Amino acid sequence: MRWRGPIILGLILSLLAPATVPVVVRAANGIHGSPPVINLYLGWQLRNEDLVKLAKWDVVVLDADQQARYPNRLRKLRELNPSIKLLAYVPSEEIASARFTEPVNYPFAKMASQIQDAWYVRGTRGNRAEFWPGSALLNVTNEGPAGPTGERWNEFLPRFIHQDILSSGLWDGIFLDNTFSGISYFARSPVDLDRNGIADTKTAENAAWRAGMKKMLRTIHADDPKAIIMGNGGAVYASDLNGAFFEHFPSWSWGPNWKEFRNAVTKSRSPNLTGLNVNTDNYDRQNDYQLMRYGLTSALVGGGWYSFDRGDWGHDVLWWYDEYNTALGASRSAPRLIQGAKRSGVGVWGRDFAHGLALVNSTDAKQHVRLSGVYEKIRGSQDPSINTGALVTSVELQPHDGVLLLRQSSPQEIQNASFINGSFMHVYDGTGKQKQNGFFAQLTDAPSGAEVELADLDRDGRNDLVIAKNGIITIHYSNGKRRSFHPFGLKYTGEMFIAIQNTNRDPALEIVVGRVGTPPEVRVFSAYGKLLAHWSAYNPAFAGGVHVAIGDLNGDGLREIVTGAGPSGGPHIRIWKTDGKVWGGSFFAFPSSETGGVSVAVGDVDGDGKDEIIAGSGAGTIPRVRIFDFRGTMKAEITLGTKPLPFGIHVAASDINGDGRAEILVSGLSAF
Amino acid sequence: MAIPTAKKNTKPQESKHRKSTLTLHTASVAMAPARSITSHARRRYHRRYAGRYRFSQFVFGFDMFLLGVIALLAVADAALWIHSVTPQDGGLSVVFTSAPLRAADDVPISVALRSTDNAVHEDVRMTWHLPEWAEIVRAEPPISKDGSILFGRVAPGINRTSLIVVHIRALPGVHVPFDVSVRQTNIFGLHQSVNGELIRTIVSSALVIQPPAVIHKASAGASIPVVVTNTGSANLASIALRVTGGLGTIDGKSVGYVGSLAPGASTTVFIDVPLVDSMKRLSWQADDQARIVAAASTSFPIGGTFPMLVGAPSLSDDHGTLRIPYTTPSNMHGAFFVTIQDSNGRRINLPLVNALSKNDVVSVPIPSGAAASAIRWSVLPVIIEPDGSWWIGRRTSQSVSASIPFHTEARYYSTSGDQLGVGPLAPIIGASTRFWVVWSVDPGPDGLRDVKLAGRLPRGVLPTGSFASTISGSFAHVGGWVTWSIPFIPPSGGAGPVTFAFEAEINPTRLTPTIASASGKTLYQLVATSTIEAFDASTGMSLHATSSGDDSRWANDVTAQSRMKH
Repeated sequence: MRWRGPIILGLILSLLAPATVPVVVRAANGIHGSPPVINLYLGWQLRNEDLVKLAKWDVVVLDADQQARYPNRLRKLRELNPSIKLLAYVPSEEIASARFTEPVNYPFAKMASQIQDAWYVRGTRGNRAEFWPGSALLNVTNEGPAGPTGERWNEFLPRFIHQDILSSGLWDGIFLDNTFSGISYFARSPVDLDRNGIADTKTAENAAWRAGMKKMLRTIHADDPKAIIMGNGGAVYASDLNGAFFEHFPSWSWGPNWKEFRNAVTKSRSPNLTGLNVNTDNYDRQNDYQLMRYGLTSALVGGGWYSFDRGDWGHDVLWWYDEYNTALGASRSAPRLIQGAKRSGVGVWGRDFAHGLALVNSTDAKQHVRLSGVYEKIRGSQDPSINTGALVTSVELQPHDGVLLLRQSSPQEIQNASFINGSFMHVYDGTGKQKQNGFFAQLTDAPSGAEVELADLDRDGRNDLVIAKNGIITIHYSNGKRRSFHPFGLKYTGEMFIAIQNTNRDPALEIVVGRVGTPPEVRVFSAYGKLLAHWSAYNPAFAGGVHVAIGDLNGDGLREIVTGAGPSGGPHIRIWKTDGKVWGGSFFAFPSSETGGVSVAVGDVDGDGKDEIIAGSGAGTIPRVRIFDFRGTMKAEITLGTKPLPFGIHVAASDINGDGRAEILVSGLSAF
Repeated sequence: MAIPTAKKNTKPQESKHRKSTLTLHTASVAMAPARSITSHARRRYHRRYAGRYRFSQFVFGFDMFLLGVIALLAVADAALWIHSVTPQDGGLSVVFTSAPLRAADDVPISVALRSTDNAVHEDVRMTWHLPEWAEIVRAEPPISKDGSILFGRVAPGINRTSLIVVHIRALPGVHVPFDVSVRQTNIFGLHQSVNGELIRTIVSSALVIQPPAVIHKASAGASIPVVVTNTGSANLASIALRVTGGLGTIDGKSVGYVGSLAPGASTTVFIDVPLVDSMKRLSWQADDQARIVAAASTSFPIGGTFPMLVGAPSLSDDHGTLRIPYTTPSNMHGAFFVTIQDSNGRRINLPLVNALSKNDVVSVPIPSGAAASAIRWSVLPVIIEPDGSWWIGRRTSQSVSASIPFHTEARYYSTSGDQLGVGPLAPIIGASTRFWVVWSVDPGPDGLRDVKLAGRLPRGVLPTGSFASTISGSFAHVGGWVTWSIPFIPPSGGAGPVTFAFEAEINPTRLTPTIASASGKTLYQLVATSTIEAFDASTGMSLHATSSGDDSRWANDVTAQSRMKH
């Protein structure tokens, strides 16, 4: 049979599909890898003061009328979150009576004025059918009567969407409400879709409904192929949508409902925005964290997006949760049943992510789950009984609950930042908040106390280990090879400071090295040990040494080298081009009277696309970290103790949790 | 049919002929000189004797005989003459001079050569012949490769002297032969030898080994101090003391290695007597590079209850004072014989310290030089009898305890509240709790070298393999033991202790030992006693400290304690 091959291929692909459908990584609130979230914000108001909060969501669904009411606020949302997707809410099969009294320039008022009487769904007695109170149902079938122009509703709506909504340029797509698989379960009385005077059978009416809806969706897509089309009503139209939306999840039973959700995830078109909405049944229960977690983890484990709000009478809240800030990263596995019944699908499900794990307990009983390693609970202020920040090897999940867990930090995650091997790292964000547990940064294949850095010098996709100790730079490549050189000559056996980044336009990385003693030289080497540039960062007689860091301080794609004076000098910072020419100004990171020197690091701690300068206080001073922009303007300060430290602190900046922002790693504070 | 026989040699004559010719030729060549003499004699006979005498052959033969006798007599006379004109002693005299011989010491010995016949003696060489236990350590003139000393010309009136310094390794009383052989070339070009000999007796030993005082008595298990002193002028490189009688032991063995002793230096060796009451004759020998150079003995009874009670001595932090609590019977003169052992193994004797009061603590000052290098001290209580002899008690000995601040603790949280441990904070059966063991060491102003940290983990606790420190070293774990070797810890510079941390895991079972707790809670030992051994990086002083362990009360972890309460 010549069809055998395609059939087999199709079966194979369908089996592989769940594992290959990735969770789409969005940058909600600028945090890479955080859970993708949708806000159905359908209230009439769109207040200016709410825009900053609203912009945190990845997708925001707004009533289509907002394009006429608040077009500048839609533009403002995009300004605040350039990655945001704005979808216009359009009911697919009804029109509210209130629309007829809106200002004529509103899209829905315009739509209402063009609705033909023939398009209404009527019962056998000719009465208009309703679903939502105050809204009349419209006939999406191909069999319904056409208007005077010969156009049916399922032909008019796509045209209207194209001409009057998407053409405004304010929207990324459409959120079609009520894309149900049939009409019989929501129409309150028998209907006569073909207007032949006879009530339709349920089978016939539902089949007709589906056929009409499919045609409508395909027409919308054909008219605007790039537009995102979401449909709220289950998985039946998933292949014709960019995302099926499941409101009121779980609407009947978790197992079959979630299975349908996962089915929709696999079938929807790219970009795939299939999502769940869980709500508090129109009660104002923002603090129902367990319910929120249950829905969120159901969505994440299933591979989709998430919406949590008050309910279908309250799609207008700005409820934001600690979990939404968690950078789990990209999905690394298909959903797996950890404990439970395979047949019913009810149990504890989990999914691995690049930086963590999501677990959901869909059973009616508490479940104890043993983990395959050590994980760290997120640090949350909303539900501290769950999000304790603790390290765990097992979790207790309440019935209908879930949890997000992060992988325990390890020194391998400190990339492109130098640190002292064996030191204890305290982790802070750009605001000075401690984001996670500190950890020992001990690489076992490097000597303790050496300055080390992990970077892919040979561009093979794997990190190499660079060790600076006793005047020698040694590179341990991931392929087992090794290379050494003496940056400051054979006679120099002192301490060195390294920073590894690209200093020129070729793809290879370079090694920037500072030293102690005189002269306070900075040298730039190729990965092969060839000297590319060198200059004296301070007066040649200055013996305190020079710390180095490298980054793109102004976001222009070119990197700058930052130097910090060592002990016996003031906490002076200078900025250079990578060839040693002075760039920008110089400034004192701490009072100039402090002579303990300053350690430096560079990283984008606030996610604005530009690296900041992070300065660590020097020897004999109270431990502090200060964050500056390239002009020397201080953006934040973190005080880490009250007693002076004899040797000061060492700072590094690296995005160890993959959230798109560098964490500040501080060592030198005693762990014990 | 005839049986064939072996073929015969078909050419016997030919081969014999060839052989005869060769023999004849050889013989004729070899006999040529003889043949020339006989042919001359034959010619003379025919010219002078044949036909002139009746028995001409007899006359010729007799004349030849007479000539032979004359020749012999001439040779004899010549030899006698040479002998008469050649001195019996070769014309040289050998005169020895030596200091009294001492074992284990360098003794100078000299030989002077002098011409006794007013003649010049050429090509004079002298060789010393000594026993193998007499080692020439210096020679002037130097000794050549062939073992001889070349004097060359010895003229009348000029002495030529060979001075050697000999290190003698034998017991006193042994006779030491010093032989020399002198060779020269006489006027006739012949070599002539003359010998000289000196025998001396070793009168004493430079190595003196004796107890500090006469031993009156020793308690069972006492340690007899024997002071070994180098009274000579030589540096003794390898001294050992051997117990040869009396079943005494030195550190459990019959031979104790003393090491090297410089001139004038001394050290003390303790010979431990058995725990059996008996009459003892204790004898010992001292070896210098495995040769006996001194011996001594003493006898004393072993037994009785030593009347002094001695508490645990303690060394001050600066190692300058050793405090010894004691109780002495009022009618007895107690004293302490204290030695300080340095890093070279040498024991320095401190002056005898009286312990007269009935109940007191004596403070023994330790000289600053000794204090800086001390690695071990020994305290030997003695009762001084009226005649000055000693009744010796049991010795207390201890390594110099470190003044290194050293601390061990188990941690679940860091000081700033970061969670380090995983699992139930209070360990429970059936679950695993991970935690960190932290060793804190203050290296002081000089720093430490050759640091060795060791800790035992209790049953049920095992290291996970994770460790952390910013000081380079080697971390190892075998079974329940964890060790950390660090070549150098730099001075603290006032920064406080440096830490070495490793992760461990406890998986309690019903068999895991628990600690009794007044609160009724089940407690587990998390880390047992730990030790540190190191050397001061500046003075070389050996340092040692012990730190007690920690348990699941988390006494050093404030955060863990507060979390456990909740």
